[in-house]
Amino acid sequence: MHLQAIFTGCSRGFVMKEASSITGGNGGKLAADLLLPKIYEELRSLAARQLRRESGYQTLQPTALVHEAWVRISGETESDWKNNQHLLGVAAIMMRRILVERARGKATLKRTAPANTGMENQESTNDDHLIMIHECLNTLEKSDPDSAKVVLLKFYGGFSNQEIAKSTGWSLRTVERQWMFAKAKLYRLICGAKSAGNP
Amino acid sequence: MVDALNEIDGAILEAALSLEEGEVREAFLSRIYRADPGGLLEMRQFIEDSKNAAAYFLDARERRAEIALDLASEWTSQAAERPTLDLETENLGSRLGNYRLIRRIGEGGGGVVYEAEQEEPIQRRVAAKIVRLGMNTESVIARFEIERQALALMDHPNIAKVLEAGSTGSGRPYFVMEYVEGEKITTFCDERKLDIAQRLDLFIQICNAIQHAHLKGVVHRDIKPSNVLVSDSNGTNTPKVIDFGIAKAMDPQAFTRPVETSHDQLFGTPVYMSPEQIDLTGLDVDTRSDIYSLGVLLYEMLVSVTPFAAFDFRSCGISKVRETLLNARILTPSQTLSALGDPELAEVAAARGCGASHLIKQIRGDLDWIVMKAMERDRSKRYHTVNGLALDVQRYLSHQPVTATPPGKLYLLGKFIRRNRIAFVTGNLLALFLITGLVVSTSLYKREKTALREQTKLRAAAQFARSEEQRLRLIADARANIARVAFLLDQGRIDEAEALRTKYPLTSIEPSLEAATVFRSLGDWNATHGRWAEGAQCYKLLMQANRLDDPSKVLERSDLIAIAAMLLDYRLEDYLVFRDEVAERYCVPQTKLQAEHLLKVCLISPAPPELLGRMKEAVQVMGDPATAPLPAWAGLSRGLYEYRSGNLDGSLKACETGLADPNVKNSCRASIRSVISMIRSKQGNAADAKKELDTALALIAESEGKEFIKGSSIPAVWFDWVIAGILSREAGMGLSDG
Repeated sequence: MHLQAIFTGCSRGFVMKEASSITGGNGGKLAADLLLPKIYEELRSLAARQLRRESGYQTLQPTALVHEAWVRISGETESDWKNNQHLLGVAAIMMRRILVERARGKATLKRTAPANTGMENQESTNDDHLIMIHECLNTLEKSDPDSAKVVLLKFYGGFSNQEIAKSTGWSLRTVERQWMFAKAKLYRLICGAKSAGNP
Repeated sequence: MVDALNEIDGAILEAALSLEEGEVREAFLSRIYRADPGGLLEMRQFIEDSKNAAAYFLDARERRAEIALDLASEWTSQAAERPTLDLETENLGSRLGNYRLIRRIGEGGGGVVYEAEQEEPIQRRVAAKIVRLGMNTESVIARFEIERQALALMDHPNIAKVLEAGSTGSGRPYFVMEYVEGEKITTFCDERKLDIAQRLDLFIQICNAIQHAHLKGVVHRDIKPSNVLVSDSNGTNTPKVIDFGIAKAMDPQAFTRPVETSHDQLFGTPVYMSPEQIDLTGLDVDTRSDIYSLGVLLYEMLVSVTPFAAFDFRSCGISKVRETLLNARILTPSQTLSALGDPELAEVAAARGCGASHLIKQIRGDLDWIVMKAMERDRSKRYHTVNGLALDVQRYLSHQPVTATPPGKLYLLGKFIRRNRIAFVTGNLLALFLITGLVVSTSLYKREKTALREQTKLRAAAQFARSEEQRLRLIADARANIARVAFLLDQGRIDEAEALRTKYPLTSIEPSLEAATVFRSLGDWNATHGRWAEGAQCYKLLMQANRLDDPSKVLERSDLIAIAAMLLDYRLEDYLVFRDEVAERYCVPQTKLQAEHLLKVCLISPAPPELLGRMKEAVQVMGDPATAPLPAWAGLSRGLYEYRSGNLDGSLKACETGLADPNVKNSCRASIRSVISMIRSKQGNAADAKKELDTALALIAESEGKEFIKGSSIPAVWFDWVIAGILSREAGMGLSDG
């Protein structure tokens, strides 16, 4: 199960206005900042509603969830949403935020040493992955934004190759290849970071 | 647009990963980075990283799912249902769509299996599998949806039907399938102490099921003993393959929903996974992966131990598993058996109803090769289809040569031996045995224009055959005469063969078209050496074998003439019985040659009127001897007919036509002269009769069984001379009468 961002707002069009008015590479992040508090709220109620439904319903299916929320809020059609590169990116950024914060929170609980140096303690294993990927992704974004985007959309956003291809305009083959390549690059960074972090 | 350099590097990496590791990949890399050692180094590093990255991200996905679920649990107000990450706590009695869970059956790769009951619209028992967490629900459901549609098409007695797929309340995918009662195949076989042949029969059925699935475009991807259940309903053992749910449809276009193919999701159980499945770098998995798994399954069914039994995969990380599967050396099944300790080996053998050494012997050789071919690391070297694998197993069972082996003459001979179930003490005996019968036979009666096959005495044949040239010629003829293969194998042992001749249990060979060649060879050899008793026995069996063949074909050959000649010389009563059958069975010749043969066979001995009546049609078919394919023989045959019918003038005319043939053979000439002698006797001309006969006898004597046409030597046919001898004797009796 993988959750995607839910767009919410007091009125219809709020999100559209917010998100589409922002352009450029950092646009996604800004939008995410603005929307994040609202997201938890919506996410929680939507998830609760779905879980309460008749069993057999495909609960917490990410795309359906997001689509439903989006349609309710903005009146946009599904294809619009999926085709809009920015929105996909925003959603993915949201998820990244949410997940990483959660992962950090859990890691804090596990750790016995008090100081949070900003680099994850080598000994906490479970959430190492998410945090390592997150931090090295930041590095990757600077040197290779395309690869970083794929990782963001694929790993954090949980989108399918098809969806990514459609919204980025890349061919499906390119997406698949980029994903494979990006993982390798990211992994290299992670290894580097891990060994650097060794005392 | 993606950065061009980036895209190029990505493409190079992809290409490198898609090439088999080793020489090919190295060649590719050196070509690309010919002038760029730095680039080469970096790409190598990327390749390494790719492999590890895939594993890493896989784990990362699991963590992500855990956290996501964690979050979700916080956000729901359904405190009672706190979803746990622990698979074991699915409540029994809880509902799963239309199904109600009853009891837990077990845990398999990928999830937990429950027995469930469907109430609406019909009541029936099903099996429901709930898939382990850590997978993207949507993509998994999408995949299952397609699987379900694909599997709905599958209607095979050996495949369990999948009925439905869905997702549980806590977001775990599940699928429902037909409830299969039975034990897993390895246990089933061991408990019932099934022997190797019985196990192989079951295996072939499983192959049929998998082949069926492949034809529908579905690769199973998780073939292992616990996914093959066997029940013995109605007294027959029916294996059923289950758990196609994690198979991947190969042809998504056939279905309506789009498919997300996720290369970095790992399914399957390590031991049974093919190298390419374990190789996480994105190579596509195809039907040959199933063939690998089937090989492992067969391995285990044969020796109760898996090829990688020495390794404990559960404690390994994915990359260790991968490394082992790709690189460790596998022992063949028989090697594994040999390496077992005595008590274990005894146990394994007992479960197969035989002794330890016998078991090893059964498995060594063909079965070893079949298993290893299925389990080839390089998938292009495996069987290309499951059918191919099943056919080889079938061949093993029917003692045919299997394709998995390197060809060898001894191997082929061994197969021939077992197929014909000839009893003998050691393999070599048969070889010797067949040698003796291995005379260069003249099974096909060919026109003189094409060379007749040489028929020589065994000693001469042995000497002759020792020379390379003859050896090669015999190899070329091997198809026509199976026994020649044996001859090539074991040429030097002729004398021993002689000594063993008497032990030959001819009657243990079943008459078959194949066996006919053997009988013919033996019969020929015996005849050539004057062993009439043995020869007659061979020919009787040849007669039997020929009954299985098309009469026209038999008549076309010279089998009947050979038999006739031998019988007539040996025992008249037998010949008469034979002649009656021939007249009955072969009475309508289709061609002139066949007609000539028929006449000759039936008329070399005095014939009663009804028989002559039956021969009339043959005479018509043969027509004028001068126009026959072999005028000399036709002349003889017609001459005999007319003589036996009392038409002396007609007979004489035919004989003269025969003699006039420039290509007349000495044996034929001798025969014709004998007939003319008989005519002269009947005409009361004793002097001429004697003269003709003397000519005939002189021919026989000086030819010494050899043949000449226009002065040059040609291969001789023994029965032609025998016929000459028979007719000359008859002529001799006619002389003394007159």
